[in-house]
Amino acid sequence: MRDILRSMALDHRIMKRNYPILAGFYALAVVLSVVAKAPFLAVAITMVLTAPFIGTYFSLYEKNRLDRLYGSLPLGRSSVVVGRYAYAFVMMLANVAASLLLGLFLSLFVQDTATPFLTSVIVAGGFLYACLFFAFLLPLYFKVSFSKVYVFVNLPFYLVVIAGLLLVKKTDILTSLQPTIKYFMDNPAMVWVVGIGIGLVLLGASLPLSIAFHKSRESA
Amino acid sequence: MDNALDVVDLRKEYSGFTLDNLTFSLPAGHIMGFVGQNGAGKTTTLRLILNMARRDGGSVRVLGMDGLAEERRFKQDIAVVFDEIPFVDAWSVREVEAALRPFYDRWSTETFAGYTKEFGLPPDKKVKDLSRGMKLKLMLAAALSHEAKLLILDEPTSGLDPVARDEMLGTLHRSASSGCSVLFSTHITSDLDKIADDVTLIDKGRLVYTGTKAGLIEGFRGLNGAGGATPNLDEILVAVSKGVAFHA
Repeated sequence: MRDILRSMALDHRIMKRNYPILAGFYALAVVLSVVAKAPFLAVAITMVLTAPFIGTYFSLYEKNRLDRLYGSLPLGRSSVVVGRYAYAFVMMLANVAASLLLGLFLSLFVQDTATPFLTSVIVAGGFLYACLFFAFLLPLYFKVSFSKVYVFVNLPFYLVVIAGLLLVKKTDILTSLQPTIKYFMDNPAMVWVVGIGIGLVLLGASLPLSIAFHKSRESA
Repeated sequence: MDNALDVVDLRKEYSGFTLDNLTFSLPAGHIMGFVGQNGAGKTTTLRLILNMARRDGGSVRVLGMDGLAEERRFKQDIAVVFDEIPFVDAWSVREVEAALRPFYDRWSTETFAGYTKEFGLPPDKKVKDLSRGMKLKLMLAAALSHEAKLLILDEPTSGLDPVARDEMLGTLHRSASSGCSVLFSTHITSDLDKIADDVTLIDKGRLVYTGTKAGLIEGFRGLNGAGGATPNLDEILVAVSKGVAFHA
Protein backbone atom coordinates (compact mmCIF):
# COMPACT_ATOMS: atom_id res chain seq x y z
CA MET A 1 0.00 0.00 0.00
CA ARG A 2 2.85 2.35 0.87
CA ASP A 3 4.37 1.81 -2.56
CA ILE A 4 1.06 2.60 -4.27
CA LEU A 5 0.76 5.85 -2.34
CA ARG A 6 4.37 6.72 -3.18
CA SER A 7 3.70 5.98 -6.82
CA MET A 8 0.60 8.20 -6.77
CA ALA A 9 2.57 10.99 -5.12
CA LEU A 10 5.25 10.73 -7.80
CA ASP A 11 2.60 10.86 -10.55
CA HIS A 12 1.20 13.99 -8.92
CA ARG A 13 4.66 15.60 -8.82
CA ILE A 14 5.24 14.76 -12.46
CA MET A 15 1.86 16.16 -13.54
CA LYS A 16 1.42 19.17 -11.31
CA ARG A 17 3.07 21.64 -13.70
CA ASN A 18 0.24 20.87 -16.14
CA TYR A 19 -2.62 21.47 -13.70
CA PRO A 20 -3.17 25.10 -14.80
CA ILE A 21 -4.39 23.68 -18.13
CA LEU A 22 -7.44 22.40 -16.23
CA ALA A 23 -8.51 26.01 -15.66
CA GLY A 24 -9.04 26.33 -19.40
CA PHE A 25 -11.27 23.25 -19.39
CA TYR A 26 -13.37 24.73 -16.59
CA ALA A 27 -13.71 28.03 -18.45
CA LEU A 28 -14.97 26.17 -21.51
CA ALA A 29 -17.33 24.14 -19.32
CA VAL A 30 -18.80 27.35 -17.87
CA VAL A 31 -19.40 28.89 -21.29
CA LEU A 32 -21.04 25.78 -22.79
CA SER A 33 -23.15 25.12 -19.69
CA VAL A 34 -24.46 28.68 -19.69
CA VAL A 35 -25.20 28.59 -23.42
CA ALA A 36 -26.99 25.23 -23.08
CA LYS A 37 -28.79 26.41 -19.93
CA ALA A 38 -27.74 23.16 -18.24
CA PRO A 39 -25.38 24.01 -15.36
CA PHE A 40 -24.47 20.38 -14.72
CA LEU A 41 -23.33 19.93 -18.30
CA ALA A 42 -20.11 21.36 -16.80
CA VAL A 43 -19.47 17.98 -15.18
CA ALA A 44 -19.67 16.04 -18.44
CA ILE A 45 -17.55 18.59 -20.32
CA THR A 46 -14.93 18.62 -17.60
CA MET A 47 -14.74 14.82 -17.49
CA VAL A 48 -14.50 14.45 -21.26
CA LEU A 49 -11.61 16.96 -21.33
CA THR A 50 -9.87 15.81 -18.15
CA ALA A 51 -9.56 12.17 -19.24
CA PRO A 52 -7.14 12.81 -22.14
CA PHE A 53 -5.40 15.44 -19.99
CA ILE A 54 -4.43 12.76 -17.46
CA GLY A 55 -3.24 10.62 -20.37
CA THR A 56 -0.61 13.28 -21.12
CA TYR A 57 1.31 11.86 -18.14
CA PHE A 58 2.70 9.31 -20.58
CA SER A 59 3.92 12.09 -22.85
CA LEU A 60 5.87 13.61 -19.96
CA TYR A 61 7.17 10.13 -19.09
CA GLU A 62 8.65 9.70 -22.56
CA LYS A 63 9.85 13.27 -22.98
CA ASN A 64 11.80 13.14 -19.72
CA ARG A 65 13.01 9.55 -20.15
CA LEU A 66 11.40 8.60 -16.84
CA ASP A 67 11.85 4.90 -17.61
CA ARG A 68 15.31 5.42 -16.16
CA LEU A 69 13.97 6.97 -12.97
CA TYR A 70 11.44 4.18 -12.49
CA GLY A 71 14.10 1.61 -13.40
CA SER A 72 16.27 2.69 -10.49
CA LEU A 73 13.60 3.29 -7.84
CA PRO A 74 12.73 0.60 -5.27
CA LEU A 75 9.21 0.31 -6.59
CA GLY A 76 7.48 -2.79 -7.93
CA ARG A 77 5.99 -2.67 -11.41
CA SER A 78 2.54 -3.64 -10.14
CA SER A 79 2.64 -0.76 -7.65
CA VAL A 80 3.44 1.64 -10.50
CA VAL A 81 0.38 0.52 -12.46
CA VAL A 82 -2.02 0.38 -9.52
CA GLY A 83 -0.70 3.77 -8.42
CA ARG A 84 -1.33 5.22 -11.89
CA TYR A 85 -4.92 3.93 -11.90
CA ALA A 86 -5.45 5.24 -8.39
CA TYR A 87 -4.01 8.61 -9.37
CA ALA A 88 -6.26 8.80 -12.45
CA PHE A 89 -9.27 7.80 -10.36
CA VAL A 90 -8.56 10.37 -7.66
CA MET A 91 -8.10 13.04 -10.32
CA MET A 92 -11.42 12.01 -11.84
CA LEU A 93 -13.19 12.19 -8.48
CA ALA A 94 -11.60 15.54 -7.68
CA ASN A 95 -12.77 16.92 -11.01
CA VAL A 96 -16.26 15.47 -10.60
CA ALA A 97 -16.47 17.12 -7.19
CA ALA A 98 -15.11 20.44 -8.44
CA SER A 99 -17.35 20.49 -11.51
CA LEU A 100 -20.40 19.53 -9.44
CA LEU A 101 -19.69 22.52 -7.21
CA LEU A 102 -19.28 24.59 -10.35
CA GLY A 103 -22.63 23.28 -11.62
CA LEU A 104 -24.29 24.15 -8.31
CA PHE A 105 -22.78 27.61 -8.46
CA LEU A 106 -23.92 28.13 -12.05
CA SER A 107 -27.43 26.98 -11.17
CA LEU A 108 -27.71 30.06 -8.92
CA PHE A 109 -27.51 32.26 -12.00
CA VAL A 110 -28.71 30.06 -14.87
CA GLN A 111 -32.20 28.62 -15.06
CA ASP A 112 -31.63 24.84 -15.27
CA THR A 113 -33.80 23.52 -18.09
CA ALA A 114 -32.57 19.95 -17.68
CA THR A 115 -34.72 17.43 -15.79
CA PRO A 116 -33.21 15.51 -12.84
CA PHE A 117 -33.07 12.49 -15.15
CA LEU A 118 -31.14 14.36 -17.83
CA THR A 119 -28.82 15.87 -15.22
CA SER A 120 -28.11 12.39 -13.87
CA VAL A 121 -27.42 11.07 -17.37
CA ILE A 122 -25.06 13.99 -18.06
CA VAL A 123 -23.09 13.62 -14.83
CA ALA A 124 -22.99 9.82 -14.61
CA GLY A 125 -22.35 9.66 -18.36
CA GLY A 126 -19.34 11.95 -17.98
CA PHE A 127 -17.93 9.72 -15.26
CA LEU A 128 -18.62 6.60 -17.33
CA TYR A 129 -16.93 8.15 -20.35
CA ALA A 130 -13.81 8.94 -18.32
CA CYS A 131 -13.73 5.36 -16.99
CA LEU A 132 -14.17 4.00 -20.53
CA PHE A 133 -11.35 6.24 -21.68
CA PHE A 134 -8.95 4.99 -19.02
CA ALA A 135 -10.04 1.36 -19.30
CA PHE A 136 -9.35 1.46 -23.04
CA LEU A 137 -6.24 3.61 -23.22
CA LEU A 138 -4.22 2.93 -20.06
CA PRO A 139 -3.41 -0.66 -21.09
CA LEU A 140 -2.33 0.69 -24.49
CA TYR A 141 -0.13 3.32 -22.85
CA PHE A 142 1.52 0.61 -20.77
CA LYS A 143 1.97 -1.58 -23.84
CA VAL A 144 3.33 0.86 -26.45
CA SER A 145 4.79 4.33 -26.60
CA PHE A 146 2.65 7.47 -26.13
CA SER A 147 3.26 8.67 -29.67
CA LYS A 148 1.81 5.45 -31.07
CA VAL A 149 -1.27 5.60 -28.83
CA TYR A 150 -1.88 9.34 -29.14
CA VAL A 151 -3.71 8.90 -32.41
CA PHE A 152 -6.27 6.70 -30.59
CA VAL A 153 -6.86 9.20 -27.78
CA ASN A 154 -10.31 10.17 -28.98
CA LEU A 155 -11.26 6.71 -30.16
CA PRO A 156 -13.45 5.93 -27.10
CA PHE A 157 -15.45 9.08 -27.81
CA TYR A 158 -15.91 8.21 -31.48
CA LEU A 159 -16.80 4.61 -30.62
CA VAL A 160 -19.45 5.70 -28.16
CA VAL A 161 -20.99 8.17 -30.61
CA ILE A 162 -20.88 5.79 -33.59
CA ALA A 163 -22.23 2.85 -31.57
CA GLY A 164 -25.04 5.06 -30.24
CA LEU A 165 -25.98 6.36 -33.68
CA LEU A 166 -25.92 2.89 -35.23
CA LEU A 167 -28.06 1.48 -32.45
CA VAL A 168 -30.63 4.23 -32.86
CA LYS A 169 -30.62 4.06 -36.66
CA LYS A 170 -30.48 0.32 -37.30
CA THR A 171 -32.66 -0.92 -34.50
CA ASP A 172 -35.82 0.06 -32.76
CA ILE A 173 -33.81 0.25 -29.60
CA LEU A 174 -35.48 3.46 -28.48
CA THR A 175 -38.87 1.77 -28.60
CA SER A 176 -37.70 -1.38 -26.88
CA LEU A 177 -35.79 0.61 -24.30
CA GLN A 178 -38.78 2.77 -23.43
CA PRO A 179 -39.66 0.77 -20.29
CA THR A 180 -36.01 0.93 -19.19
CA ILE A 181 -35.78 4.66 -19.91
CA LYS A 182 -39.03 5.19 -18.03
CA TYR A 183 -37.63 3.25 -15.08
CA PHE A 184 -34.53 5.46 -14.98
CA MET A 185 -36.64 8.61 -15.42
CA ASP A 186 -38.66 7.55 -12.40
CA ASN A 187 -35.50 6.58 -10.50
CA PRO A 188 -32.74 9.03 -11.55
CA ALA A 189 -30.53 7.81 -8.71
CA MET A 190 -30.22 4.47 -10.51
CA VAL A 191 -28.58 6.26 -13.43
CA TRP A 192 -25.77 7.17 -11.05
CA VAL A 193 -25.55 3.64 -9.68
CA VAL A 194 -25.38 2.08 -13.15
CA GLY A 195 -23.01 4.72 -14.60
CA ILE A 196 -20.58 4.60 -11.70
CA GLY A 197 -20.91 0.80 -11.40
CA ILE A 198 -20.13 0.10 -15.06
CA GLY A 199 -17.29 2.64 -14.92
CA LEU A 200 -15.69 0.90 -11.96
CA VAL A 201 -16.12 -2.54 -13.55
CA LEU A 202 -14.40 -1.28 -16.72
CA LEU A 203 -11.49 0.12 -14.73
CA GLY A 204 -11.23 -3.06 -12.65
CA ALA A 205 -11.20 -5.20 -15.79
CA SER A 206 -8.44 -3.21 -17.50
CA LEU A 207 -6.12 -3.03 -14.46
CA PRO A 208 -4.79 -6.63 -14.70
CA LEU A 209 -4.23 -6.11 -18.42
CA SER A 210 -2.16 -2.98 -17.74
CA ILE A 211 -0.13 -4.80 -15.08
CA ALA A 212 0.59 -7.65 -17.50
CA PHE A 213 1.59 -5.23 -20.27
CA HIS A 214 3.81 -3.15 -17.98
CA LYS A 215 5.56 -6.20 -16.58
CA SER A 216 6.35 -7.51 -20.03
CA ARG A 217 7.41 -4.17 -21.51
CA GLU A 218 11.08 -3.29 -21.73
CA SER A 219 12.19 0.30 -21.40
CA ALA A 220 13.49 1.94 -24.54
CA MET B 1 29.24 -10.77 1.44
CA ASP B 2 32.40 -10.81 -0.68
CA ASN B 3 30.96 -9.37 -3.84
CA ALA B 4 28.72 -6.38 -4.34
CA LEU B 5 27.63 -7.78 -7.69
CA ASP B 6 27.66 -11.23 -9.26
CA VAL B 7 26.66 -11.56 -12.88
CA VAL B 8 26.59 -15.14 -14.12
CA ASP B 9 26.00 -16.25 -17.73
CA LEU B 10 23.87 -13.19 -18.42
CA ARG B 11 22.31 -13.46 -21.85
CA LYS B 12 20.17 -11.20 -23.98
CA GLU B 13 19.36 -11.57 -27.64
CA TYR B 14 18.26 -8.74 -29.90
CA SER B 15 18.13 -8.91 -33.66
CA GLY B 16 21.70 -8.17 -34.70
CA PHE B 17 23.19 -8.27 -31.21
CA THR B 18 23.66 -10.87 -28.50
CA LEU B 19 24.99 -10.36 -25.03
CA ASP B 20 26.67 -13.69 -24.80
CA ASN B 21 26.68 -15.39 -21.39
CA LEU B 22 28.46 -12.57 -19.60
CA THR B 23 30.03 -13.45 -16.24
CA PHE B 24 31.81 -11.10 -13.86
CA SER B 25 31.90 -10.10 -10.20
CA LEU B 26 32.49 -6.78 -8.50
CA PRO B 27 34.28 -7.22 -5.15
CA ALA B 28 32.71 -5.21 -2.31
CA GLY B 29 34.32 -1.81 -1.82
CA HIS B 30 36.03 -1.82 -5.23
CA ILE B 31 35.67 0.50 -8.20
CA MET B 32 35.22 -1.52 -11.37
CA GLY B 33 35.47 0.00 -14.81
CA PHE B 34 33.02 -1.58 -17.23
CA VAL B 35 34.62 -0.96 -20.58
CA GLY B 36 33.86 -1.55 -24.21
CA GLN B 37 33.40 0.46 -27.36
CA ASN B 38 30.00 1.90 -28.24
CA GLY B 39 27.57 -0.92 -28.92
CA ALA B 40 29.60 -3.51 -27.01
CA GLY B 41 26.69 -4.23 -24.66
CA LYS B 42 27.54 -2.12 -21.60
CA THR B 43 24.19 -0.34 -21.32
CA THR B 44 22.33 -3.57 -22.12
CA THR B 45 24.14 -5.26 -19.24
CA LEU B 46 23.26 -2.46 -16.82
CA ARG B 47 19.61 -2.50 -17.96
CA LEU B 48 19.51 -6.24 -17.35
CA ILE B 49 21.01 -5.81 -13.87
CA LEU B 50 18.31 -3.21 -13.11
CA ASN B 51 15.56 -5.36 -14.71
CA MET B 52 14.79 -2.59 -17.17
CA ALA B 53 15.07 -5.31 -19.81
CA ARG B 54 14.21 -9.00 -19.54
CA ARG B 55 17.14 -11.37 -19.61
CA ASP B 56 17.10 -14.46 -21.79
CA GLY B 57 19.35 -16.38 -19.45
CA GLY B 58 21.71 -16.19 -16.51
CA SER B 59 21.45 -14.75 -13.05
CA VAL B 60 22.32 -11.58 -11.17
CA ARG B 61 22.95 -11.15 -7.47
CA VAL B 62 23.19 -7.63 -6.11
CA LEU B 63 24.65 -7.16 -2.61
CA GLY B 64 23.92 -10.83 -1.98
CA MET B 65 20.26 -10.49 -3.06
CA ASP B 66 18.60 -12.18 -6.01
CA GLY B 67 18.27 -9.69 -8.84
CA LEU B 68 14.71 -10.70 -9.71
CA ALA B 69 13.11 -12.01 -6.52
CA GLU B 70 14.55 -9.26 -4.31
CA GLU B 71 14.54 -6.37 -6.80
CA ARG B 72 12.67 -3.95 -4.57
CA ARG B 73 15.01 -4.71 -1.64
CA PHE B 74 18.28 -4.41 -3.50
CA LYS B 75 17.18 -1.15 -5.13
CA GLN B 76 17.00 0.39 -1.65
CA ASP B 77 20.73 -0.21 -1.43
CA ILE B 78 21.90 0.88 -4.85
CA ALA B 79 22.06 4.15 -6.74
CA VAL B 80 22.23 4.70 -10.47
CA VAL B 81 23.68 7.59 -12.44
CA PHE B 82 22.67 7.57 -16.09
CA ASP B 83 24.23 9.32 -19.05
CA GLU B 84 21.16 11.57 -19.23
CA ILE B 85 19.23 13.04 -16.35
CA PRO B 86 16.13 10.97 -15.47
CA PHE B 87 14.15 13.76 -13.80
CA VAL B 88 11.33 15.96 -15.06
CA ASP B 89 12.99 18.97 -16.67
CA ALA B 90 10.51 21.36 -15.03
CA TRP B 91 11.47 20.17 -11.53
CA SER B 92 13.76 22.32 -9.43
CA VAL B 93 16.69 20.81 -7.52
CA ARG B 94 14.53 21.00 -4.39
CA GLU B 95 11.68 19.16 -6.13
CA VAL B 96 14.00 16.37 -7.23
CA GLU B 97 14.82 15.76 -3.58
CA ALA B 98 11.14 15.89 -2.60
CA ALA B 99 10.26 13.39 -5.33
CA LEU B 100 12.97 10.86 -4.43
CA ARG B 101 12.94 11.12 -0.63
CA PRO B 102 9.78 9.05 0.04
CA PHE B 103 11.19 6.02 -1.78
CA TYR B 104 14.30 5.46 0.33
CA ASP B 105 14.27 4.30 3.95
CA ARG B 106 17.69 5.82 4.64
CA TRP B 107 17.31 9.03 2.65
CA SER B 108 19.06 11.97 4.30
CA THR B 109 17.89 15.48 3.42
CA GLU B 110 20.97 16.84 5.22
CA THR B 111 23.30 14.76 3.05
CA PHE B 112 21.51 15.90 -0.11
CA ALA B 113 21.68 19.52 1.03
CA GLY B 114 25.37 19.05 1.80
CA TYR B 115 26.14 17.72 -1.67
CA THR B 116 24.07 20.36 -3.46
CA LYS B 117 25.92 23.04 -1.51
CA GLU B 118 29.29 21.43 -2.23
CA PHE B 119 28.43 21.09 -5.92
CA GLY B 120 27.03 24.63 -6.15
CA LEU B 121 23.52 23.54 -7.14
CA PRO B 122 20.96 26.29 -6.42
CA PRO B 123 17.88 24.65 -4.80
CA ASP B 124 15.41 26.58 -6.93
CA LYS B 125 17.16 26.11 -10.25
CA LYS B 126 15.21 23.98 -12.70
CA VAL B 127 16.68 20.80 -14.14
CA LYS B 128 16.29 22.10 -17.70
CA ASP B 129 18.37 25.17 -16.83
CA LEU B 130 21.33 23.17 -15.51
CA SER B 131 24.45 22.59 -17.61
CA ARG B 132 25.50 19.02 -18.48
CA GLY B 133 28.04 19.07 -15.66
CA MET B 134 25.51 20.41 -13.15
CA LYS B 135 22.99 17.76 -14.18
CA LEU B 136 25.56 15.09 -13.49
CA LYS B 137 26.25 16.63 -10.10
CA LEU B 138 22.55 16.62 -9.31
CA MET B 139 22.33 12.93 -10.23
CA LEU B 140 25.36 12.24 -8.05
CA ALA B 141 23.90 14.20 -5.12
CA ALA B 142 20.68 12.19 -5.40
CA ALA B 143 22.60 8.93 -5.74
CA LEU B 144 24.73 9.55 -2.67
CA SER B 145 21.96 10.68 -0.32
CA HIS B 146 20.52 7.32 0.74
CA GLU B 147 23.63 5.45 1.89
CA ALA B 148 23.81 3.31 -1.25
CA LYS B 149 26.19 0.38 -1.00
CA LEU B 150 26.53 -0.01 -4.75
CA LEU B 151 26.75 2.82 -7.24
CA ILE B 152 26.12 2.03 -10.90
CA LEU B 153 27.17 4.64 -13.44
CA ASP B 154 26.31 4.45 -17.13
CA GLU B 155 28.64 6.61 -19.21
CA PRO B 156 28.35 9.54 -16.80
CA THR B 157 31.36 11.47 -18.04
CA SER B 158 30.39 11.61 -21.72
CA GLY B 159 30.33 15.23 -22.83
CA LEU B 160 31.82 16.59 -19.61
CA ASP B 161 34.70 19.04 -19.54
CA PRO B 162 37.93 17.84 -17.84
CA VAL B 163 37.30 19.88 -14.66
CA ALA B 164 33.82 18.44 -14.13
CA ARG B 165 35.11 14.94 -14.86
CA ASP B 166 37.90 15.35 -12.36
CA GLU B 167 35.45 16.56 -9.68
CA MET B 168 33.18 13.61 -10.33
CA LEU B 169 36.02 11.13 -10.12
CA GLY B 170 37.08 12.68 -6.83
CA THR B 171 33.57 12.23 -5.44
CA LEU B 172 33.50 8.61 -6.62
CA HIS B 173 36.85 7.92 -5.02
CA ARG B 174 35.60 9.32 -1.72
CA SER B 175 32.49 7.13 -1.90
CA ALA B 176 34.56 4.03 -2.55
CA SER B 177 36.82 4.94 0.37
CA SER B 178 33.79 4.88 2.63
CA GLY B 179 32.91 1.35 1.50
CA CYS B 180 30.60 1.96 -1.45
CA SER B 181 31.22 -0.32 -4.43
CA VAL B 182 31.17 1.28 -7.87
CA LEU B 183 30.44 -0.17 -11.30
CA PHE B 184 31.50 2.50 -13.77
CA SER B 185 30.53 1.95 -17.39
CA THR B 186 32.50 4.11 -19.79
CA HIS B 187 34.38 4.27 -23.03
CA ILE B 188 36.53 7.15 -21.73
CA THR B 189 39.21 4.92 -20.33
CA SER B 190 41.41 7.71 -18.98
CA ASP B 191 38.85 8.07 -16.16
CA LEU B 192 39.51 4.49 -15.14
CA ASP B 193 43.28 4.87 -15.28
CA LYS B 194 42.80 7.25 -12.35
CA ILE B 195 40.37 5.43 -10.08
CA ALA B 196 39.53 1.83 -11.09
CA ASP B 197 40.70 -1.18 -9.06
CA ASP B 198 39.19 -3.68 -11.47
CA VAL B 199 38.16 -3.74 -15.09
CA THR B 200 35.61 -5.79 -17.00
CA LEU B 201 36.16 -5.47 -20.72
CA ILE B 202 33.55 -6.59 -23.22
CA ASP B 203 33.51 -6.53 -27.00
CA LYS B 204 30.54 -7.25 -29.29
CA GLY B 205 28.58 -8.68 -26.37
CA ARG B 206 31.33 -11.03 -25.23
CA LEU B 207 33.55 -10.93 -22.20
CA VAL B 208 37.21 -10.24 -23.06
CA TYR B 209 38.59 -9.77 -19.57
CA THR B 210 37.47 -9.35 -15.98
CA GLY B 211 39.87 -8.89 -13.09
CA THR B 212 42.30 -6.37 -11.73
CA LYS B 213 43.37 -3.41 -13.84
CA ALA B 214 46.98 -4.46 -13.38
CA GLY B 215 46.17 -7.95 -14.67
CA LEU B 216 44.58 -6.52 -17.82
CA ILE B 217 47.57 -4.32 -18.56
CA GLU B 218 49.89 -7.26 -17.92
CA GLY B 219 47.94 -9.38 -20.42
CA PHE B 220 48.49 -6.79 -23.14
CA ARG B 221 52.07 -5.94 -22.19
CA GLY B 222 53.43 -6.92 -25.58
CA LEU B 223 50.95 -4.71 -27.41
CA ASN B 224 53.48 -1.99 -28.20
CA GLY B 225 56.14 -4.47 -29.22
CA ALA B 226 58.84 -6.14 -27.14
CA GLY B 227 60.35 -3.60 -24.77
CA GLY B 228 57.67 -1.08 -25.73
CA ALA B 229 55.76 1.16 -23.36
CA THR B 230 53.17 -0.34 -21.04
CA PRO B 231 49.85 0.01 -22.84
CA ASN B 232 47.13 2.14 -21.33
CA LEU B 233 43.43 1.20 -21.28
CA ASP B 234 42.72 3.27 -24.36
CA GLU B 235 45.28 1.37 -26.42
CA ILE B 236 43.98 -1.93 -25.07
CA LEU B 237 40.39 -1.01 -26.01
CA VAL B 238 41.45 -0.13 -29.56
CA ALA B 239 43.48 -3.34 -29.82
CA VAL B 240 40.54 -5.47 -28.64
CA SER B 241 38.25 -3.83 -31.18
CA LYS B 242 40.76 -4.90 -33.86
CA GLY B 243 40.69 -8.49 -32.66
CA VAL B 244 43.86 -8.62 -30.53
CA ALA B 245 43.34 -11.33 -27.89
CA PHE B 246 44.08 -11.15 -24.17
CA HIS B 247 46.93 -13.34 -22.99
CA ALA B 248 46.81 -14.44 -19.36
